[in-house]
Amino acid sequence: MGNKMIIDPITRIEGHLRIEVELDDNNVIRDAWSSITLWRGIETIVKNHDPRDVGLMVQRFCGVCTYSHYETSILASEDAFKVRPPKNARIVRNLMKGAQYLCDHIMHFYHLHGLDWVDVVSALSADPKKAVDLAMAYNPDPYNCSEGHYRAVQERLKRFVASGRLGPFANAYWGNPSFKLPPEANLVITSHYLDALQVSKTAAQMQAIFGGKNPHPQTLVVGGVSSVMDALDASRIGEYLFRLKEVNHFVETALLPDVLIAATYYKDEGAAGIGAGVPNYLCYGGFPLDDDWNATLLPKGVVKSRDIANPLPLDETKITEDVTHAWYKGEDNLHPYDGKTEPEYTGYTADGHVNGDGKYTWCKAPRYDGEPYEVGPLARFIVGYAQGHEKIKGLTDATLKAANLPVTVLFSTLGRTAARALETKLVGDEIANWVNELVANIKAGDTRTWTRCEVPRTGQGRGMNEVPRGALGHWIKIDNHVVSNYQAVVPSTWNCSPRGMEGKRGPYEESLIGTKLANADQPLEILRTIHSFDPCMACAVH
Amino acid sequence: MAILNDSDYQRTVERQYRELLARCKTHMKEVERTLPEPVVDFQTLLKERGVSRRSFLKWTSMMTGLLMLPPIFRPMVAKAAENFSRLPVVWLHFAECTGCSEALLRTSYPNIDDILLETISLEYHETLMAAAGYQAEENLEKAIHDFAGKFVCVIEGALPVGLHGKYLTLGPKGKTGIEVAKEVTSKAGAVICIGSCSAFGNIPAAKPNPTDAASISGALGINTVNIAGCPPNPINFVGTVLHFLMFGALPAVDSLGRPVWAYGKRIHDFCERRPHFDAGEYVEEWGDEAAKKGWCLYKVGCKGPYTFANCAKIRFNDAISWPVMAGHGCMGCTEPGFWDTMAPLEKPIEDKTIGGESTVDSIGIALTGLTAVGIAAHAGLTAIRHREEREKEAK
Amino acid sequence: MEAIIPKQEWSVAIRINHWAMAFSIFVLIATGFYIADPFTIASGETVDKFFMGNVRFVHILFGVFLVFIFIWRIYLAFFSTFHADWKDFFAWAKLGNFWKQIKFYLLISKEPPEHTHLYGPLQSLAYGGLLFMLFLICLTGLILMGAGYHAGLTAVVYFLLKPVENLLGGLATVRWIHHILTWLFILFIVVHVYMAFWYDVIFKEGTISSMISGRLFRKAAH
Ligand code: HEM
Ligand code: HEM
Ligand code: NFV
Ligand code: SF4
Ligand code: SF4
Ligand code: F3S
Ligand SMILES: [Mg+2]
Repeated sequence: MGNKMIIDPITRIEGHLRIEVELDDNNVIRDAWSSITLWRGIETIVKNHDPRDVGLMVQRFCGVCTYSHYETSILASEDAFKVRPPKNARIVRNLMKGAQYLCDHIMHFYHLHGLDWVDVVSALSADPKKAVDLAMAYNPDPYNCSEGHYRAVQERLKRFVASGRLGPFANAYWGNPSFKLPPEANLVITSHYLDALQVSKTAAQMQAIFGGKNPHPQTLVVGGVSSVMDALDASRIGEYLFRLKEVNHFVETALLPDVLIAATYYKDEGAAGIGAGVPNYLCYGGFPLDDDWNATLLPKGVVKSRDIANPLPLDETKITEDVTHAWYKGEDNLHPYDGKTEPEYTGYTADGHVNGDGKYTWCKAPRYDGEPYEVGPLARFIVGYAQGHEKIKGLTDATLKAANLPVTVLFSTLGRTAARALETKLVGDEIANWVNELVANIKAGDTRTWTRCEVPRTGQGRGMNEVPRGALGHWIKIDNHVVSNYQAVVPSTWNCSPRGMEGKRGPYEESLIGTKLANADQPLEILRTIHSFDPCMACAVH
Repeated sequence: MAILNDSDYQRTVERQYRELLARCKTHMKEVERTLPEPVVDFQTLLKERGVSRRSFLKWTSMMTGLLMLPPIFRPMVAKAAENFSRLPVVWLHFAECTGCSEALLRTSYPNIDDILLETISLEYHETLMAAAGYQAEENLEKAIHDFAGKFVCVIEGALPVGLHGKYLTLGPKGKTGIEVAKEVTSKAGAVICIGSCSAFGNIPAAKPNPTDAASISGALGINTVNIAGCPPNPINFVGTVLHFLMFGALPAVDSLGRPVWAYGKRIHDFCERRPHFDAGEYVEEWGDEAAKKGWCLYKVGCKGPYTFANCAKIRFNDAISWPVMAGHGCMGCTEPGFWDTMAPLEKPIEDKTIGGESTVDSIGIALTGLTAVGIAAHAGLTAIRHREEREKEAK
Repeated sequence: MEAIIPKQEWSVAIRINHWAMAFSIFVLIATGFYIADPFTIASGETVDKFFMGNVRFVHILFGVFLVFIFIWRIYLAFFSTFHADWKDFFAWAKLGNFWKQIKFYLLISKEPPEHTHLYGPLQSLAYGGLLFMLFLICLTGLILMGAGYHAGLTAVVYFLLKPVENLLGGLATVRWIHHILTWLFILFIVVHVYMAFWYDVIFKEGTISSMISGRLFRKAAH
């Protein structure tokens, strides 16, 4: 019997997550449980509401990926209403969601995940001149890069440390042997940590141009979008493009090189497959590219048991959720159309631990064909790569070649983080094309932004989407013009899943097995792997 | 009753403001004496960001105006900005979505507010802090001990009261949200509820409120200042903290705890589409000609007439837009219970449905019809009876 | 031929009050429905149009008018020396009479209840309820008005009524209640006017004209 360790709160994520692990005598993780400690019951709350209101309600699942649930709920209603938005609306939605990806992914790498790779204190001892050389080695024209600037950043950090009030940086894991970057790399990435605060705001503004505000934009409607004035206004589109350029420049000259730096120094961890987790990957497809909504930028499909030679098609009927180990009534494995959300809390064991044999989290256990699956940028890249998606394959191969790594390195914590960075570029590059498409369509005289529709008396529909953290599905049933059942199976629900009735661990849990902690009091390696999924608990449980 | 004439009135007001200014000065000295040095030097930071002295002055004038103070307070606003990072902030997350935190992180670039928010001295904030687990818990304990009575406790999220609070547990010891909230707020210098969740309950407390979620003041029975909105505009938070720094007290609030300077008037009172409302020019459906011309959104469910907030005046994300500008209309997110009271969100109030189908109007028409039928029947019967009677009398 | 004796039933004050009220209510219903569900005035320039503005003006004008008429009616109930006293609103308390009245209306019995008060027992309930409805619609109307006008007496009234607004659940709910009350008024008017005609026909005492002339024409035998 090993030592149990509780990490609660897991910080630098959205929401309330507790991780418990069992360590052996060598500080290697032998078992793990992930437990979400808040339930709000929004699936219950939306019942009896007008389906057209539900998008705005379920948007409040999460303020980080804010736009995701709004759009997906609208998609579910559009499926139930049997209506499709016009071209302009499809494109405006892509522009807003594209901004969401840029904003989320940048913020995630720097502000939520960065401090797992970067030792800020070590940056103080860097030589700014050498830092410039290091940055130049990864990009010919690195973002905000000069000896003077790096020195100023160091000064700012020094003042901060000298004040004795470290605020959010206090009591962290500085100096832990698991940090691998040289001081100069730490300085470069830390300087971008500060720049990224600005850049993610710019990306949020892009969304707000069409959305009214961010977080929680207010412009999607069943059948289209409401911001017709902004969509038809050349100066608004100009404001959007201007910001897109700024953000893409950052992705190109800061985010991608920084992730490459990390990949260079952490490549052993990647090669050893640390943090790989469950071997199955799932995606639903996202960013519709044509008016029939067939082609999507992000892929749709399944890779099972890491068999990238044989990608499988997606079969929606195989999606189920089970609550054997979650704080809900029942033990069935239900398809979301018939899903139930009835709480049954059993609490912790007498000694304050999660009860791994019983129910231990508010997170349900989604399964595809009875198996746990990972979703997210890594899943999208693996499925895309397996399907021979031209852009995904191109980006991946070029990066692997530059870092001199085999494709199997993807199956790791590092791979997960790298895939997210590559995806930021993939989406960022595509957005400009959509803007052109929008302008051309308007110029051709099509100014429609809404398709007329009515709430059916009864009906059902589902929205299948790809959002920053992975595959997102909403299932709606309508009776008497109001919602009679609503179920959301969210990216973080998949990834944070507890064991199911079959007893298999969920992706977070599985990804921790075999990881060795350099320092038994400091959960740094656990945070690094868990953060690589970009956890969002408000999403996962809702 | 003596009626003050204009100059008397003027003198009284001036005296009151002078007293207030004196109080403010004393308090700022107190702040500088008792709170630690600023974490960052604000002037240097402004320079680093390329903010000119002139734009800083402009900002202080704007903030002074927004806080409904006369221009003599401008230097104090500037001073409060410089001292902003002295104020220790403990930020708690309960039943929330982190949208309020995100709103602050993504605010108004390149204004001064976002520089202030970046320098805010967060002693504890789960979304941003590097430490986790036990180390995080230590930070919290240290902060409420070291800064007892001085720190501002900012709360994001409602408190589930049902199941003895067990719908939300926090930290390695598995305390309930209510326990943590009691512990921290009892030591705080002030409690600011950010967002409609902590202020009024919001989405988790919408009907049927499965977790019995409540606002902070409702769950703990304490007074809070409520920066309402889902999420609220960050400027409303910045202004409230500035006010606290300047006077050692939270600003005047309305009967729902919202600062009057920010929530004193309705969306409808400042809306750029108001002339169209008064003219009788309405968007009838999404994307129609009226929508392209920016007419009023009343008929597609704008709840601006029932909603107290300054969105129309200050807008969001560096004033780039706001819901009405995006053609959707307000849904009343700064009002208690808005998911239920403002529903349906995309229809006017008169289309509120009962049981999904009937509206007051459809019920009203049906009842009136029924009454008319009843009256006709009654009249008919009366006539028959009357004839019988007359015939009887005639016999 | 029976003798017909005119009987002074309604004072001048009550009659003026009644018709002022009736007229205001008609105007308020019409303008209120426009406010609730306006149609668009599509032609013309925005700057030349103020239709909703004018409708709201008329509504609020008559709304305030109604508030004063209501207060005046309450005053009459307590201080008028002539009829329509507050006690008359409790005619329903005589339960025996109450049942008799229902049977009479339902044409089950031909025996009208004894005339103890100015109103019959059902009338007293209806008019009492109506006064209460008037109170509610004035209250909600004043709240709606106060929310948009921030000066003078309106501001004072609004300050006093704000707790009521919070209690009711905010302005949107206040507006909804105001709208529901509108329908209750419509229902009332339909029944009320019918009953006036009915009385006229059954008793032939000139019920309808009495609200104008003030006189009923009672048969001496009665
Ligand atoms: C057909 C002619 C009508 C007759 C004979 C009539 C008669 C009466 C009588 C006898 C009362 C009780 C008076 C009192 O104690 O104040 C009354 C009250 C009332 N009537 Fe009428 N009415 C007529 C039409 C209307 C109409 C068209 C309206 C409204 C649009 C109206 C609105 C009211 C109201 C609001 C009250 C109750 C307030 C009060 O008690 O003063 N009436 N009516
Ligand atoms: C029998 C009397 C009344 C009727 C039938 C009536 C009817 C209405 C109706 C139907 C509405 C629209 C509600 C909606 O949007 O669904 C309304 C709004 C309103 N009423 Fe009345 N009302 C009456 C009395 C009053 C009084 C006494 C006042 C004030 C003193 C008043 C002030 C208002 C105001 C201010 C509005 C909102 C207008 C706006 O904000 O644009 N009403 N009324
Ligand atoms: N998991 C998750 Fe979300 C995302 N992306 C949503 O569907 O973060 Ni809050
Ligand atoms: S108020 Fe809105 S944005 Fe803030 S936490 Fe609550 S739901 Fe999220
Ligand atoms: S859009 Fe909304 S807030 Fe603006 S004038 Fe119309 S109803 Fe009022
Ligand atoms: S919905 Fe909320 S953000 Fe402002 S415009 Fe309305 S109060
Ligand atoms: Mg769910």
